[in-house]
Parts: sequence; structure tokens; C-alpha cells
Amino acid sequence: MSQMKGLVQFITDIRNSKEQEQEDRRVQSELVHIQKQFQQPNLSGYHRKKYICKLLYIYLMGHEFTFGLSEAMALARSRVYSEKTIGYLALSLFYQTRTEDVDTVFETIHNDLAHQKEDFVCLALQFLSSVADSEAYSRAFEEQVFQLIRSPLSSSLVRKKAVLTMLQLLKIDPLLVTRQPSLVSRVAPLINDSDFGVSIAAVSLVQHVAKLDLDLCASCTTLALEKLHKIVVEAECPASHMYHGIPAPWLTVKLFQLLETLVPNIDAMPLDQANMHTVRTVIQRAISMAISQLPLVSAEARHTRDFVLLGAVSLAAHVDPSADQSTIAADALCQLLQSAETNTRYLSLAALAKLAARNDEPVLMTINKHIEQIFSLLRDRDVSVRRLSLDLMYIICNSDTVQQMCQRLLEYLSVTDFAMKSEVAVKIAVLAEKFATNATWYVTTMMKLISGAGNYLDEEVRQRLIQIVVNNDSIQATACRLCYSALKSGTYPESMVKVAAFLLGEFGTQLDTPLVQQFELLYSCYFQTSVTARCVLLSSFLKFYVHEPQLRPRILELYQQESNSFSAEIQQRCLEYSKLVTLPDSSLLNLVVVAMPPFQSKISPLISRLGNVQQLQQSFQLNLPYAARSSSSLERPKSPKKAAPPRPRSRKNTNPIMSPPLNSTTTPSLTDLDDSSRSMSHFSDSQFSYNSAANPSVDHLPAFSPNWKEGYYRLLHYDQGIFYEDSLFKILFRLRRNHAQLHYELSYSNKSPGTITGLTSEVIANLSNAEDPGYVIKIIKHPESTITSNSKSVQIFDVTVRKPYLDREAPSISISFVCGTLCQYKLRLPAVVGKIMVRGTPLPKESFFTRWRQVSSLPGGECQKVIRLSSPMQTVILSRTMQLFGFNLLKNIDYNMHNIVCTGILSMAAGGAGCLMRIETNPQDARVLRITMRCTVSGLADILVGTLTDLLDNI
Amino acid sequence: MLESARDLRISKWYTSVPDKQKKQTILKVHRLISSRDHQKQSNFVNFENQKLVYRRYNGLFFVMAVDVQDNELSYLEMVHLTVEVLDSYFNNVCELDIIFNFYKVYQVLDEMFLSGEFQETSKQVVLDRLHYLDNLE
Repeated sequence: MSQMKGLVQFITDIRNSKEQEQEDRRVQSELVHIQKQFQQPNLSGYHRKKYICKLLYIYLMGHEFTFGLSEAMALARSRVYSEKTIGYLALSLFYQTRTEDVDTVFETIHNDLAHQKEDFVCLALQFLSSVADSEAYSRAFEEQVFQLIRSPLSSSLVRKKAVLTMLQLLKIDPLLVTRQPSLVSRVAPLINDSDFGVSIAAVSLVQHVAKLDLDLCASCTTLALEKLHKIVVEAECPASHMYHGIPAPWLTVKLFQLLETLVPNIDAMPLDQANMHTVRTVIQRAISMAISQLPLVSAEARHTRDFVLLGAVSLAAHVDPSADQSTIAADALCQLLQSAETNTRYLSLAALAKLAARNDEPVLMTINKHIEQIFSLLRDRDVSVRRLSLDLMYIICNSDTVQQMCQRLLEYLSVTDFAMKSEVAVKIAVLAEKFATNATWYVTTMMKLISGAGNYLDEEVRQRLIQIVVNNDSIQATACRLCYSALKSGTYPESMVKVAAFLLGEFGTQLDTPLVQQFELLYSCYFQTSVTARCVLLSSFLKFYVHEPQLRPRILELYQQESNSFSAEIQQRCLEYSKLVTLPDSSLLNLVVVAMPPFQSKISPLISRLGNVQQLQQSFQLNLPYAARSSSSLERPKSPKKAAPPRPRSRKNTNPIMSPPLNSTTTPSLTDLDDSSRSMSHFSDSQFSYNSAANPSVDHLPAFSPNWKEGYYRLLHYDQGIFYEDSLFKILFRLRRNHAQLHYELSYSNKSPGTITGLTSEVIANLSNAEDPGYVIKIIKHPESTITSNSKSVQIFDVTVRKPYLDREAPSISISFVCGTLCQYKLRLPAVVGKIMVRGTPLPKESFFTRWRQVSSLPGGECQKVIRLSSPMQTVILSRTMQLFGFNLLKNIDYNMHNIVCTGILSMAAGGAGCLMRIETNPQDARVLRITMRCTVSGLADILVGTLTDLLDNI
Repeated sequence: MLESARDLRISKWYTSVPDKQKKQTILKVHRLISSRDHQKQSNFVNFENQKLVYRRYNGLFFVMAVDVQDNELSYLEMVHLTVEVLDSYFNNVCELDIIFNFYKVYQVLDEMFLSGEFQETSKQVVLDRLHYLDNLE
């Protein structure tokens, strides 16, 4: 697009304007000029474009005007690309506020979306994605956009833009998913598209859908993992998408995030074995590559390595509860703490906090190894880094490290900026109380804290210390001694005076120092302190008055003197106290001045200031779709509901220093337990609904693809053969029986001349009772998503039978892929309980009948059924079928040569069962049979007879 | 996403916001970013319910607003990729290029982002496309 001289001149004029007024005049005259030009009947496309550009510039400067929309529209309908671009750009900026002419705009978009010129289609998609803001757009365009995604004629360029435009329509209208049920199955294979632009677009769309409805995206996990494996492990990436030597970093982190969304909770919805294996390989490789790389030259490469690493660590913390993985991740992050980049240090700390919040012992140990590094970050240049390292220390602290931690924090307290002092002080106080194992250490630390924090100390810290000292006889003397010497030293904050006043007044008698000396010291502070401290001192002196007769005249003198104080508070106190001590009867005085009773308070006032570790942990828990998103800011929680006491963490040795009467702070209160149980039940509720939604109703067989029967019935008695075949592909089937375990190998062959892409195959459990399932599926290997012509790929999985289940509960398999068009299949898997049958031992006639009779006494042990087959069946074929099914044919037991007697054993995981069967045939009518089955497990006979009837009827 | 210096040069919105609110938001972002210490502080700052990821290139700030859970550093590097693309496209880009060719900057953005998501992360692919478009009439 060539430069427009008029526009350049106009912009230059504006830039040369010396004053605002001059600029405004220039703009106004230009607006008048443009308006006049627009009224000309034969305005050329070029001129129209130029004037619209000027209007755009005026608009971006922030001026307002009310014309130009119809000219922009005319420009958008132009057949010249450069004019169309400007037309659409102007429309996208002006259009929003003025909504007349909707029909014309829609018509223009429709025409361009259907245009044969790809560039016009792209412009229309870009425009649509930036203006679509209501359902009207999605309803009008979803079909056309979807068509562009599906059409094999669309180029990668159009397809990626169409996918993202679809995402915009989905954002404004989430119900679109229900109107276009095949959307995900069409977009999912694109995750694995060879064009990385298409791939990243598809990932964004699928992630958004997964947030709306996770079930729709169940098959995407495997696809995303396969793409990740290709990029991260196999280093498969076109040169154009290498960024400073790193393959497709943005796509990689997008895929990491997609996986976090697809697996919202690994405990509730575990990955199958094959996927878990892949995810571990990918994460390990991503982390080890990031660590092992030599110092990278360019800043870009370093940043990129770091963000991929952070993405991998976040995923590891999310999906892999194994300690190894988390430890490796923690180690990697700790190394990043040394980075020269503020951003990296900041983000690694945040990621470490997220990891540490899971509270795994090995992870905490790993982080603790790097504790020096974290300490040093307390002196970082960036305040947000300092804050985060403080938070991290708070999370990882335990009884082993508390002494070191508090020591460091106390040192830090003296140098930290004022904004953080109070926060540091509260954290020290809480940690000291929570993890202290030594009472003297606790008191010493707290006294240091009070000296160090000075006037930044919160009232609550002081109150809490006093509560604890009052409730613990063993530390009272030490506490008094410490604050006495603190005051004696001459430099002390006012809060120390308050603490000393209270403690010496209460427990001063426990000190060797005479009370008179103690009083002198406190008295010397009196006139240097504020009103509130004086009040505390005055109350303290009342106690001295009671304890030490020698001091009484001086104290009384002070009271009388201060009765004239300017402060009403002091004046009142002094009046009351002097009245009290001068009463002839001292009984009232003795009633007022009694030893402090132990505090009953169960809640440390500090916790309300700080939030407990759990809340801090929660604030690091990210993006669980169905958990309410907690604020990720690390500020102190303000809502009163959060003021619950800390729960003991599952770490060893969290014994509080407090003696039992004070057991307060580490005992979880009822409210706290309630909270956790509630959240758990909420969780299982949502999980339950997920499960039931995933299961097709068991009362009806799910709808299978046509032609499922042939393969199913063939493999109901054979263990090898063709499971499915059509013109595009073929599935070969192989089964190995191993006690309760059925080991399946399905091999997919591509028979078409083209390539199969986006192949997903999901084995679906149709169980009615998920709590106590009849069988368990374990995926060992997924098929590869791409199969070129004439090649094949294998899927392996195990079905372990636990106990009898109905045939209709047997698993099914759902397959989808793109080969020219989207193909979807749903097939019934021959994995009924009878498939685990192995031949029973041959029995002599007598013992057969003994057992036959024994089993008959078991309720539900027998099933007898007369069946009429649709076509006659020879006894030889019948016997052969039974043998293939797994029975052992016994000869010479039945007197009638035409009858079949056989035995089988089913070794289910929950217990084995023996089966005895007799089939009576009718020589006159080979279509009629009578089956009598007796089994040692109740209910099994019914199921097996059902399976056999079904089989015999369909071969 | 928006880019600003002393004056706003270009802004691109991926959510629908009335003009009035846009102006207020731009003002707030401007104040917030200019209050930051660019030597010492990180390139991320919380803003309303989002995070701003920003980076300064000479007098120009490039600012992106992203979700709180997004990987900040990947967006920061995306800002850099955008600048690399602009630099190659305008052949050593400066603020004047962006002022005089503002409509072309929109074109660049439309090739790299769509619906507020990454569209193309290959510098080569984007540049090829831009040069192709330049040669169209």
C-alpha cells in the first residue's frame, strides 16, 4: 500500500502545531473539508481512502465527529484490497457506537466470507472477530465460519483465522457449543496440524470450550500430549517457528495450559497410564533442557527458556503428584532465583510458592536447601520480589527451620522499608508461636521482635505475647527479666514499655531484682511516653502499690499529681486509682488487683491480620475451573470469615510451646473443620456429576456405528481377527487372556490413499456403578494421531474384570479422525465378563455330578433358558463355538450324545468362579436349544447365558 | 493491547468497551505505568482484574493486558516478537513510522493476534504475509 501524500501532510501539520488551539483549528478545518469532499458525487476510491485515513487519525487523537460511517462502509465494499482494508479498519473503530445500517454491514461480511479471493475472506474474518459483541453475530455467521474451518479447500491462513473468529463468537455466545455439537471434534484434530499457526489457534479454542464444558473435550488430552511430545521430546518444529533456538515456545506453553484446563483435578480424574507416562516424559524433558542449557547469549533466549520452564513447572505441580517430579521442578525454580532478571526472580518465587503450597515434605526440603538464596531476595531491588520471598518463607517454614528463619527475619526487620515492617513483624510472631519447640527461645525472639519492630509493631502482636506469657508459668520470669534489661539498656520502643509495664506489674515478684528498682525503671519511662503507655503504666503501678508497701507514698503522689493531667483518660484513671487506694477498707482494692487469670481466647488475634497458611496456599492455587477463583493477590485477607485459626499442617513436630491449658492456637476449631469438610463434599458432588455425565445411560445400549455387529460377534468367541473394516480403514484385534486381565491390542490400518489425521480413540466405561466397578480400564498406549496411507498404529489397553457385570455395561470404543472429512465411529467392545473364561479341569463323570448338585443349592447360581435360533445350528459348530468361547468340553458325561457338557473358570479379581453348563439340543429341530448353567457366584449364570444367547443368535 | 508514549499511539481492544470507558482505562494504565520504577521493578503489574505486561522501547511503551492466570513471561516475549516484526517490517522502526503508518500497524497486529489470542508466532510467516499484502493493489 503506497503512502498517501495528503495524509502525510496532514499528520505533519498536526505534529508541527505549537499549541493545542492551533491543532484544534487544523482538525476542525480538516473535518469541514472532508465533510465537503464526501458530498461530491464522483469521489474516487483513492480519495475516499485518504479522507477516511485522516478521519481515523483524528479519531485516534481523541476528537469526536459524527460522519464518515457510510463512506467507510462504501470503502469496505470496494474491490481494491487496500481500500477494503482501510474501510474495515474504520468500520471496526467507528461502527461500535453507531449501530444503524447493521444489515449492510452483515451483508458485506457475508459476501466477503464467501468471496473467492482468500485475502477478502481474511479481512472479513478479522473484522468479524474484532466487532462481534452480541448473539446476533454468532447466529448470523457461525455456519459460514464453521464451514471455513471444515472445508478441505481452506488454506492454513484462512483456517487459523476462522478458528479464532469462531472462538470470538463462542466468547460472546457460549450456547454456540450446543448448536454446533461437532465443533470440538472438527477443531481437536487441528491441534496436531502441521501448520503451527493453525495448531495454536485450535489450542486456544479447545481450551475455551473445556472451560465451558469439560466433557466435550475428553479426547483432546491425548492429542495435546502427542503434539507436546513431538515438539519437546522429538524436537519436531519447522525452522520458521524456532524462536532464538527454542522450538515453538508459545505453542508449548499454550499446550501446557490446555492440559491444566483439561485435567482440573488429577486426584479426582486421573490420567490413564499411557498419557501419564507421556506427560512425565514431556515435563522432565522440558525441565532438564531448561536447566542443562549453557548460559544463553541472548536475553530473548533466556526469557523464552524461563517461560517454558515456568509453564512446565506449573503443569508438573498441577498434574503430577509424584514427589520426584515436584522436587526436580522445585530445584529448577530455585536455580532461577539467581537470575539477573527481575521478572524471572519474581515469577520463580511465585511458582515456588504455588509448589510449596502443596505441602509435600520432599519439595519443602528441596526449597529449604536454597533458603540462603531466598533470604537474599529479601533485599531485592523490587518490592514485589521482596514481598513474594517473605510469603514463600512463611509457607515453607517448619519447626526445623523456624529458629533460623526468625533470626533472618529479625535481621531483615531492622533494614526493611517502613511499608513492610509491620508485615514482617506479624509473620515473625506467627511463625515463632506456631513452630517454636522451646519456650525460652520463643520469649527471647518475641522480645527481640518488640525491640526491633518498634512502633511498627501491631497492637495484636503485643497482646498475643502477653496472653501467652500469662498462660505459661514457665516463661514468666524469663519474660520479665528480658524486658527489664531491655528498658535498662536505655533504647527501647514504646511498645516495650507497655509490655514491661504489664509483665513487671503482674509477675515482677518472680524476679530477683527488688520491686523498688523495677518501679524506678518504669517510673523513669513515664514522662517520656505517650498517653496510652502512661495509662498502662498507671495500672501497673496500682499492682506495685499492692505488692510493695514501701512504694505506696510515691505512687499515691503520682496519682494525685496526674489527677490534674490534660488528658481526660489519665485524669480519670488517677482519680479512680487514688480513691481506690485511699479507701479505708482495702478489700475492694484486693478484689480489683488479682492475678491475671489465663486467657480463654482460642483465636490468636494475629491470624486475623495475616491469614493462615491455608489461605496463602489457596491464593496460589490457580485456575481450577470449578473452584471459585480466589484472589491471587497476596494481600492480607480482609473478610472476617477468613479469620479462622491455623490448622496444624501435616508436618512432623508442630507441637506448640504452650502447655495444655493454652492449647489454643494449634487446635483446629470446629468452624475450620466444617470448612474443610464442606469444601470436600462440594468437590465430590461436582465430581459425581462429572462421572454421571460421562457415562451414557446404561439402560439403553448407546447408538453404535452401523456394521459394528460383525466384528463384535466374531471376536466375542475368537480372540484374534478383524474388528472393523470399511473403505477407509481397518481395525485388527488381538486379545490375550491373563486371569482377570484382558489385554487388548487394536491395530489401526489406513486403507485410504490419503493420510489419517487427528485420530483419537477413547475406551469408554459404561458402568452403572462407578463406586464398585465391574471392571477397570487401563490405557497403555494410545494410537498415533496421524497414520499415513498403508501404514498402521497400535492401541493397547487392559480391562481388568473385578466382578460380574452385565453385557450392556461392557466398555465401548469411540474413534474419530479426519480423512478428507471427519469420520466418527462408536463400536461395542467384546469385553464382556465371559471373555476371561478359561477351560475348567476335565472332570470324571461322578465328580461332575457332585459339583453340579452342590452348586444348585446356591441362590442365583443357576440359569436355565430355552432359546430358538433364527437359523439351525449343527452340534459340531455349537461345540466348537463353546470351545472358542473358553469352555472345556467334557465327553461321555451326558447320556445323550447330542448334548454338550462343559466347564469353565473365571478368575475375577474379586474372587474366582467355576461354571458348569449343559446344552441340550433337539435332533428334530436344530434351531431349538436348552441351556442350563450353574455357577459358584450368584448372578453370574444369568449373565453368561445372556452372552451365549446373544452370541449364538448372531453368528 | 495498547501501546502508549506521552500520547497514545495505537490501541487495539479485544473486548467490546464503550469509547468513554476506553479513554478512562487508557488514562489509568498510563498513570500506573508511568509511576513504575523501570530500572528496578518487574514488567508486570496487577490492574483491575487483569495483569499488565509492558515493556519500554525508547520512548514507547508496549502494554498488553492479560488474564491473571496467564504466563506473564510468555506475553512479555510476545511483545518483543511484535517489536521484532515491526522492526523488520519498517526496516529499523521508530516512533515516526508508527505515527505515519498507524493503519499498517493495525495490519501487523491483525496478522499476529486475533480475538485476543496468539494467531501466529513465527516472525517469518508474519513478514511474508505482510510483504505479500503490501504488493496487493
